Amino acid sequence: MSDLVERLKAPLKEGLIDVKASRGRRVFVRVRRESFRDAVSHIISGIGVRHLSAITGVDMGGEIELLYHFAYNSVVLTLGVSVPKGSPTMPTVTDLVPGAVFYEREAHEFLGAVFEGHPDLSPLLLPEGWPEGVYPLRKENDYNKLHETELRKV
Amino acid sequence: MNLLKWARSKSPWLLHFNTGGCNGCDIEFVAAITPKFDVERFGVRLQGSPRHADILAVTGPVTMQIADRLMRVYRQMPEPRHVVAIGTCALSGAPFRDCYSVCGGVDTLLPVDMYIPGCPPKPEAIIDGIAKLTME
Repeated sequence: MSDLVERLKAPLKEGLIDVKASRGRRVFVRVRRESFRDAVSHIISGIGVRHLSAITGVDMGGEIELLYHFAYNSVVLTLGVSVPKGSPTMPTVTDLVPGAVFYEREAHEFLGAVFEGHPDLSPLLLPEGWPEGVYPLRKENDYNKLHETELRKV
Repeated sequence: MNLLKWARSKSPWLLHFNTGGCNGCDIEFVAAITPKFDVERFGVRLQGSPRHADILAVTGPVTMQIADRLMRVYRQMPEPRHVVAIGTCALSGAPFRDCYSVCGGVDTLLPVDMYIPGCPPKPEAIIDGIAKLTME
């Protein structure tokens, strides 16, 4: 899928940090946070990718890396953005991809990433009395700490 | 045995409740209700309301979100009522036992009368468990 790689590189230029296509049908792209929305709108309108499969995230220590997985024909295209953990704000993609509402809610309550412009960032999967500020998928919340988290009375 | 006990053991009406599972046990349970396995010969019927049910069939590891709802459904059932735990998750919580948002198994909340192990248990095993429960 080298033409896909070329079509990604062209409009983004310095916003794009890195493109890797280790196997033919698995493309991994990293962009900066500033040019993230341009990248997504280019992927959707320019290249014509129609399906956002999932939004996942990894806690990399000092920063949180959010991964947007797109499915295009038989190629899986992953867009990775790193946000610093101190201020993990990100522009939302729900106006471009309406189906991203649930994924961004999940990323918000498990990793603490804040999506500006999201219609409703209320918790989705965690129990109702779960305290704010405890993000289970962050690395500093290890097993014992999560077990000591007490649920508030709702 | 007396008439009332005989009547109750010959027509156990079931209520199925999934407490946050993967739906594997639910699919096997629903398969057990199909005519191929014919549970109506035991008098088993699936009900939609806890007020009509004798036996509560629980699947899934009990998550903290559903714990209150499960208790509410159980309290609405008229006595004599029984609880059947279907699948390894409902028995003990299975791989999710020590998770931060899982209570771990139905017997942490409710008194269980019959345990049906399996992941998921075969429909024959489910019918076997329910039939054994009615014989007591």
